[in-house]
Amino acid sequence: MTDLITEIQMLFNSVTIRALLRALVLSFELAGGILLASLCAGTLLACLKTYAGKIFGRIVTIYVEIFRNTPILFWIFVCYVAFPFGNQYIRAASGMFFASTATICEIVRGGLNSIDRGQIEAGHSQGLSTFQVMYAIVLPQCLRRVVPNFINQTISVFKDTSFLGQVAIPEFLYCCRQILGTANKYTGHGIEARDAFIIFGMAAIVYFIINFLLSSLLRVLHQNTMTGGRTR
Amino acid sequence: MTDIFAFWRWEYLWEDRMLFVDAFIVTVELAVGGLILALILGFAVGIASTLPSRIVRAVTRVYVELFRNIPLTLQVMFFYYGCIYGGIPISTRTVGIVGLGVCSGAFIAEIVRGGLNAVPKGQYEAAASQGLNYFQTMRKIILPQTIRIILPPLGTQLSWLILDTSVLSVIAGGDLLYVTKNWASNGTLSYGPAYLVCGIIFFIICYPITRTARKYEEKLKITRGGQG
Repeated sequence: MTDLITEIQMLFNSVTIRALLRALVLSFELAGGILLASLCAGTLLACLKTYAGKIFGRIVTIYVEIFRNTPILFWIFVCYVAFPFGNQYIRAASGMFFASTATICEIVRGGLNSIDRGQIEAGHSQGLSTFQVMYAIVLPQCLRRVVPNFINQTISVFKDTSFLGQVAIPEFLYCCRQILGTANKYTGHGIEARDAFIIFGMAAIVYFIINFLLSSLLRVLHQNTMTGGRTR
Repeated sequence: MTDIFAFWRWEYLWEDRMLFVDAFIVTVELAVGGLILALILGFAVGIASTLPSRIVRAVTRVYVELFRNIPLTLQVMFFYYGCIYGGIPISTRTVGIVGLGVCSGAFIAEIVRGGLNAVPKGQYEAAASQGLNYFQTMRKIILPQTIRIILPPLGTQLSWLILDTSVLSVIAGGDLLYVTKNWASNGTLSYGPAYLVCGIIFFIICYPITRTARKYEEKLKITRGGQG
């Protein structure tokens, strides 16, 4: 037992902890950036698909179907090679951004469909432009309704940032793997199974806590909107 | 190097086609093995999570939350490196099937639980009043209705499982995406043709599944709307 504790202490020294924290912050930043960008793009696409005529609708549908039926890791690899601009971070993250945009487009479209068309007509009859109707009437209601789905997407994007290590982005899991690979430097003996268990176990705990908090938030929000909808 | 119109790159690809066929077979094996394991686990855990016993429900809860909230990449690495450094020889395929099965099992368990809860309580009571025991009730009354409800989400889950076979690339699993990436980056740098083929294969497998699932879901909604 004391053996295990010293092993843990040797593995998590000041150097590795600092590296892990830095990597975790990078994972957060990547997930946040991807989510924010894909929320904007996905909402735009969903509006186009729902209200902008058949041709736009078709194009968006094709985009969504392509990205939802191919692996995210595939797009990370493709964009890492083929995305025309940006540094390695942007190129790798763009793959996830495209995939996430497709998912969010579907989510927001579900929300838009749940809003009565009469509201749009009412807005137009008040002299509001289409943009004003969308911005002031439709989108606020729609986005409020899709918050639970959006949190689900947040969880999966955060989980999927672990793919980015495959193209050598130093995110959290990549950092863990590197520490495991150089564990003999810290412990003084060869890499053993317990090193893998300690490091990946720590990573699992970190991922679990963050995602579990998010999904708990989801449950609370869900209950609130359910009861809120009934009393209003 | 991403040029898909260079004919000679396609020639190289055609020469190495067997590599891709083998990788495709590995991916199919992973998906089928993972699916079987996931269905068994998912139904067992899903049904267990509706049992009255508190302890059983707590265990199923822990299983579901654990495997849904931890990235599959990490699960696979944990399993693989744990075995490798522990001196247990294990093939990447076993890791893949177990990893995919256990992870998808957690998602399927949630789907099954939702489906079981959607069946009205009165059905259980009616079955009990007819003198059916628990297993008869489940097999003859509850599960047939549940399966009809959960087929669409199960279809979506199946397509995710197929897409998730690509996660095996992280441990050099020999799946389609791994082979594609390796082939493209080691040989002639023919990224374009290789990725195009890989993407099309995934799309051809997954698109019919998601489409059928969605169509069926819409049909289900309409028929149920008609009844209600």
